[in-house]
Amino acid sequence: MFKRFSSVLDECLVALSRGDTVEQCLARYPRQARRLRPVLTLATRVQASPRVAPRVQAQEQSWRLVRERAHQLRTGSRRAATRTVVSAYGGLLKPAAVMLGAVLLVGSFSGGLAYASQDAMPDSPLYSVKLAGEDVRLWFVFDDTREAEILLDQSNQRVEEIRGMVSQGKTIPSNVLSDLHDRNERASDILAEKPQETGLRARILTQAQQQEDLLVALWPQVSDGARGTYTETVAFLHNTQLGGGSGAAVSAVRPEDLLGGILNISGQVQQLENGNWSIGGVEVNVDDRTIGNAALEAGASARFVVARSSNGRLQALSLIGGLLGSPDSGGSSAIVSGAIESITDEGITVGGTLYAFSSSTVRTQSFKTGQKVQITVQAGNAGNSPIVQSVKPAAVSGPSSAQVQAFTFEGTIEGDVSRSTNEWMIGGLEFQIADSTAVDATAGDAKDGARVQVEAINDGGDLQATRVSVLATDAPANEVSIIGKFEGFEDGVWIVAGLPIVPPDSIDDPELDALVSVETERVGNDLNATSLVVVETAEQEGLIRMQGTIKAIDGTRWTLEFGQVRVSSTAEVIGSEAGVGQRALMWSEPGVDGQLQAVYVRVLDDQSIVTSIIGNVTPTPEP
Amino acid sequence: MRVAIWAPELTRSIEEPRPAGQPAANASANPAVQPKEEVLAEWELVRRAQQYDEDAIQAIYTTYYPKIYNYAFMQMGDVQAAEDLASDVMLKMIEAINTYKFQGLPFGAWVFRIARNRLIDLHRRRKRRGEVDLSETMSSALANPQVLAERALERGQIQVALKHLTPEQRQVIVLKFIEGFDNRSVGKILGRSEGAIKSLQHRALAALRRILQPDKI
Repeated sequence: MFKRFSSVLDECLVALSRGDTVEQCLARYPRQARRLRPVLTLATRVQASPRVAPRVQAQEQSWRLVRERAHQLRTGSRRAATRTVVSAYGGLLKPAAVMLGAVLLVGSFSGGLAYASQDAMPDSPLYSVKLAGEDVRLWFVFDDTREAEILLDQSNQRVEEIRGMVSQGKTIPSNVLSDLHDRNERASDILAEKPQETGLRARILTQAQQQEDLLVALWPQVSDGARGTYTETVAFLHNTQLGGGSGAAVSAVRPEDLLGGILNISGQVQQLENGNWSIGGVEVNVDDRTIGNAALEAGASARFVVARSSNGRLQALSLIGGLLGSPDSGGSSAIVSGAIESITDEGITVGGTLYAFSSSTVRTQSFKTGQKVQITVQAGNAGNSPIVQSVKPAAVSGPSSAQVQAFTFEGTIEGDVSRSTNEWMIGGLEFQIADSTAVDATAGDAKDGARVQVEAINDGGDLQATRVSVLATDAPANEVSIIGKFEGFEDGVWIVAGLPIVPPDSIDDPELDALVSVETERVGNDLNATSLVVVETAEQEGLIRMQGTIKAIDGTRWTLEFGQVRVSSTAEVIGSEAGVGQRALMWSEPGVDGQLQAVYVRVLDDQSIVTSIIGNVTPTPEP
Repeated sequence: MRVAIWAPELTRSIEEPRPAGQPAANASANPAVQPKEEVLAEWELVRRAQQYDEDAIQAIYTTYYPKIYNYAFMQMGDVQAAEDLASDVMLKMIEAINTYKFQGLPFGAWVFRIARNRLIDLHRRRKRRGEVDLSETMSSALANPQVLAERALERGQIQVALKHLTPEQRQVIVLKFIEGFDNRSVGKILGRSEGAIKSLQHRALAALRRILQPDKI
């Protein structure tokens, strides 16, 4: 019969305490002997460890206090008299006193301070009162199953508080994560003793999945001081799923496996000779700690949530939405950036289009009309409307005086990046792979010579990639393009998003703070501009930036995940001839008829990326 | 305010040791087992202490003050703080001893429950006052945790090795392996289920092992 290791260990520890030797225990469990031996040996060493003795003087001084107090109680001080009365009516009054105490305690938590604390958020001084009140409630629950249910409710309450903090633009502190972890653990402990509670088990599993999905999406919002608690919490939620409801999985993810951040990597999976897997060219450990790995097959494409350890080792946590192209893959995603026209609980309107929220939409702060945001939308399968995955403030692309500038870069990977998870050399520039970077390698492996588009920020000279997408194009390695704010002309070079570009004599300087797209030729360390397009002037600012996969083209009307855009002859179109299945980056504005009108379009792929990946595509109409 | 409650729902009989190699009996299948003789003998002593018999109180004090001091020192690593906490717990014990009701568990489980609650209060107060947690300071100050923890264990200074564990793991190691409580009593002290204690002790030992050099254990 299968026995959990912790139970086997416990039985051996009991046997040791009765005088058995380690060898006798190991003989009873030969299959677990290799794991048991070091733990049992350690336990015996700890047991043999001498106690720390108190100082005699301190012990005697304390005894005098205790003896004096005992004397007061014996000789009938007021407090002692009260106790004597209670004692005299022992069996009758004690339960009554306990009940009275309970009522008073619960009463105190139902009024005054407790009332004030009931809506307290984790950054409130009253939050600990709120948590204490929740504990008090559990003291009077005598049914284990009911207690587990309440613990799970309280754990969900923590999730709502986390959502609340994030929606106000606040970082997530450790106290709420710690309590979330604690209540989940207590519920799991109860379940471990009640295997017959299948409904409870199902709820714990579902809840663990939902909570892990949310928390991995919120890594950037976790305060630095809470990272340790965060990794413990996510590891527990993950292991709960692996263990079928208990946090003690046979193969478990450790908190330290997540200390380097959470990445999203999508691409074709291949098994390597060393037993590891490659996802889109990046070496990742995919094993029985990866949820959904059973569906995996070499050659398939999939999206993964990947944990990065502090030393850069990658461990796939879960496969998202099944294999790409399968009915449950969830369709492709697209990104829309622009100013909010309206926002309600139902959705957000940008560029005249309403994007609907779902229960799992992550909003990283409280947004207001006019604020610039970046929305990630996921195309629905079978004609369903796209849903919003996340809304966050748009990457900075403000005035040229800003320290941090967002830009889009296109270049070629230089060198082996399969195991290098911290910095990638692309188009002659070193980009940091941040702790929440997304790598989209569905169109081909990320490898030496691969053409990629990088969405990045320039933070005082540090180039941090927020998203790297491998492109289906064979552009020459010395061709590099940059889309960013024009910051001026200094010492004979243009500065675009903080990067120096050598201008040609034939092109005039654009206006300061204009958003420009510059094609360059790389010569040594120099980027020599060959052409420049002003996407948006500083006065015009207000265009909608969109990137997605073309699903249909009907004359000038293109359909992408986020809706339809008119690409007329007035739009500046750069790149290959557009076709279904290719990705496009565009800036648009609402036309007089409300239809989005493209101003600048960059077709990113030379040919359709794997059509099975993007789901429902409509064939390009014959001309 | 945290209130120490020894509530009726905690009433359970203690578990008899099992014959070697036999699996743990399901609690519901083994509802009635008698307390150990020493537990019953201690209960007689406690009954005398409830009448404020000084000899009985002194016997209990002499037994538990060093245990609580040791427990507190293992958790906090501070002699003065451990002495204060042990003294405080002894006073609380004597003031509340009339409320103690024998439930088949060792009296020590009740005393340690008080100590555990006082320890939680202390940590919360320190946190509110912005004081640095001593255990964190000691842990972060160790240049090479593996080597220092191993040396500490060799010298019998287990509290140094324990600094690398979580507070709950530390509690389980001390209560289970140093104080010798069974799982049920540890569960009552920490407010956790017996299954949770099994799991916790496994994790605690595994964590302790990870920080020690594997070839020496």
